[in-house]
Amino acid sequence: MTFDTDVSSWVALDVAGRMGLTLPDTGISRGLSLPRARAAGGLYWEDWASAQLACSMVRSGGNAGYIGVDGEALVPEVQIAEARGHLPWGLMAGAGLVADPWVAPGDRAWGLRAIAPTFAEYAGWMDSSDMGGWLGWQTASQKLALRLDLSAGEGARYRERNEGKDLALSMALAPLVDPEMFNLDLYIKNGSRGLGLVRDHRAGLRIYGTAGPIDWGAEGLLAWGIGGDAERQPLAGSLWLQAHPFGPLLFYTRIDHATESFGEAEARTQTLFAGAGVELPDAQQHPLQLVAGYTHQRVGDAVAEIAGSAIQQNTDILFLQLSVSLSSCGADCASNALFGS
Amino acid sequence: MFFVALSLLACTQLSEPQARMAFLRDTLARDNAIWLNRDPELLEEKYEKMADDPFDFMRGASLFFYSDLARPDPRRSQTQFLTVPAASSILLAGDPHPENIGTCLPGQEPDVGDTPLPLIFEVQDLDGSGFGPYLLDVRRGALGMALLADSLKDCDCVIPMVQSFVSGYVTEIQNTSVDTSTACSDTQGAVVARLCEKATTDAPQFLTEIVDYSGDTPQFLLDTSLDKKGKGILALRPEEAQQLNRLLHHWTRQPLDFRVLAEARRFGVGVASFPAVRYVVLWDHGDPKPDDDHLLSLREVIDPPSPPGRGSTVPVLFDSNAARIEQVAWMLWSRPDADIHMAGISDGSSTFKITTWSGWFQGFDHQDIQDDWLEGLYQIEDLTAYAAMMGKVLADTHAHGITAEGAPALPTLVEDIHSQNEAFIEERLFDATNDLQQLYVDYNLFQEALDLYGPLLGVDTLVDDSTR
Repeated sequence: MTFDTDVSSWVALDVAGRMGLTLPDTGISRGLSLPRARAAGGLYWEDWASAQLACSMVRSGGNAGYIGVDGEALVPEVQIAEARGHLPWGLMAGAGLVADPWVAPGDRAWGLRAIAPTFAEYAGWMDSSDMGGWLGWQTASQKLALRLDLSAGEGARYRERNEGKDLALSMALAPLVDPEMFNLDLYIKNGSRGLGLVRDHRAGLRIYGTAGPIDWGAEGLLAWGIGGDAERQPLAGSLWLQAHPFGPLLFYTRIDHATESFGEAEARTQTLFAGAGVELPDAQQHPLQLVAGYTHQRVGDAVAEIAGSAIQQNTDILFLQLSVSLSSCGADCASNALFGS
Repeated sequence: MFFVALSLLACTQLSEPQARMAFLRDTLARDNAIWLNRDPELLEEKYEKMADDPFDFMRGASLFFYSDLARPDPRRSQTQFLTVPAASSILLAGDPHPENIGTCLPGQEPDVGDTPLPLIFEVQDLDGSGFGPYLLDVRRGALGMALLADSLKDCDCVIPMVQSFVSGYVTEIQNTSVDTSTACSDTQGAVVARLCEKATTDAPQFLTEIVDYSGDTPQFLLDTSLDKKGKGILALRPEEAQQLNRLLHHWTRQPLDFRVLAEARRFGVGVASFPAVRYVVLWDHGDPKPDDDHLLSLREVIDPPSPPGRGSTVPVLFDSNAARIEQVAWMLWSRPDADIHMAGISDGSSTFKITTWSGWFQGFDHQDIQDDWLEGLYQIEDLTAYAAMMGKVLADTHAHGITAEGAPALPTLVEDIHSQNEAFIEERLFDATNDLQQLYVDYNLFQEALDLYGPLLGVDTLVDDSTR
């Protein structure tokens, strides 16, 4: 196969393997896992058109099912399959299976997707992509970007299940001279999910930036309806810090807190992520990460899957993780918070 | 602009019943996705059956029951048990409702004239089995008992029957030694005695009601058209005959001189698995006379619903669905030969379960119990004795099982209940009465949903349309 000389390409691979210990020990070995295995690639035709495809690995049959592929083999799952047109006056349009305009920028802001997704995806409140299309605009300086998405609302794993469409408006603002110092993301979605056209709205605010050796971020997310359950109306906040004090050293911590109200009753979930490691060869270019991490999740009595069950209220995970993230386009792959590659 | 949109979003809300109906429809669509895409007509019949009777609704909606339990709603009742980590990963029976516990005939099925071994009680259908909190089985069994009790006219026996069921469970957990079986006996009251009698009287003529011996070769009595409930036996289509041949070919524990005499497909049985493919086989050891003729049932088994409350996701611990079906039965039954033909067989991505089909294997039928109660055949003591026996069988089932770590389950169960029998019974009774009220609400919502959205609950658009 030959390409026109004006066509350029990029590829990216993220792979991480983990060895861990989960407590309390319910007798199930969950020691070895593959927290991240994602391959992505794209082609550009001059400055006019591009297409990208990204796949991640999933266990066929799920984690509790037997009906899989060749046993319960790992199989690639298409996460993004997007056609994109680059229009005049800073306009862009994309269509297909497109990255979510809240989750994907969050991953880039948090920067440690291989350790854990950002709160919305980690807690199962949002999917990382959805079938649909978008229209975007950004200033020539790339300090302000706006994006309007129309999507099915069922995520990448399910077909469209109702006549409603999700409509989301997103904004990314980098007001300072140095765009890395401070960024603001706003997101609002009017959505529906499932056969019952159940509300699935979201509103989010995120700020993040860099101050010397510290990367920091904070976000809040408000939801009306979760996973087809219209009665849930939770609020969540997430704070994180990453420090690169010297050489290849990395320290990180993140705290997620979610609160749900049901009438006068409240339910709370807190998750703490913390860890230390090395990024090689250095903090600027670090395709290789070796991290020793700790995750603690505490759910209130009422949030445990079996209400009141003491053994489900606290979960601790200790792990050692080796991650490699390689890309042929380097920093250009994330040239804009809202539009990504 | 963002703030205007935010305030608009906050104003949109479905009413609570609407929201619950949507949750119910979505959960059922997910649970039945395999049938929806393959046999939507059979799924329609399953839903119709569920809509006809709250008991059948309960049987067909186990995933919804589990999903509802797992909702992070502070209004849910809280347990003081499940304090021992391994208690969250016990090998469960899956769905121990009253119709799922019945008689089994251990050992070889007798030929005509032979004396059979005594009948024993087991959880017959372990298709939903997996590792999870043992309380789920007890809670589901108690709900089934409460629903049955509530359907008995002027009985007012919900509380005594549920109490007897849970009491039978905890008492057996405290006392059991894992080699016990519950056999038919005179001390279990009239409800149990009637089922034992039915098994004994039905078994000898069971074959002749299903097989036509008037011709040169025996044939199943086929229904030229299925009845309104879609029940009956039909001839195999060519592809079905090929699949059945493959399954029997891969059955490694065929009896000596196994010879197939007739084959057919069976429709209209069960509730949750109503749309599953079922084959029936008439076989013998080679004797030209019908004295050694027997029947087998081969039924498709899908993945079990994933129970909540296991903390982090528990991976599957059996080599395959076929291995799960076999090994779970061998472990949880009081005797591994409770059905000597039990086997799991894979056929591509499908899994089938082979079981004996005979009159010896009888299950309780809630409608029979209702009719007998109306006829005055039972006293309340018969019902509580029956409930206690059901609780005992469930306890024995758990006691025979293992934790996900592979250790015997019984010490974990004893430690978790730690002799707080009264508190355990009270908590289960509280849950059962609440679950019963919720089940009636959900049953009405299900009927309304069928009226509003049609026989497939409005998921017709998902059928045969892979491009959406």
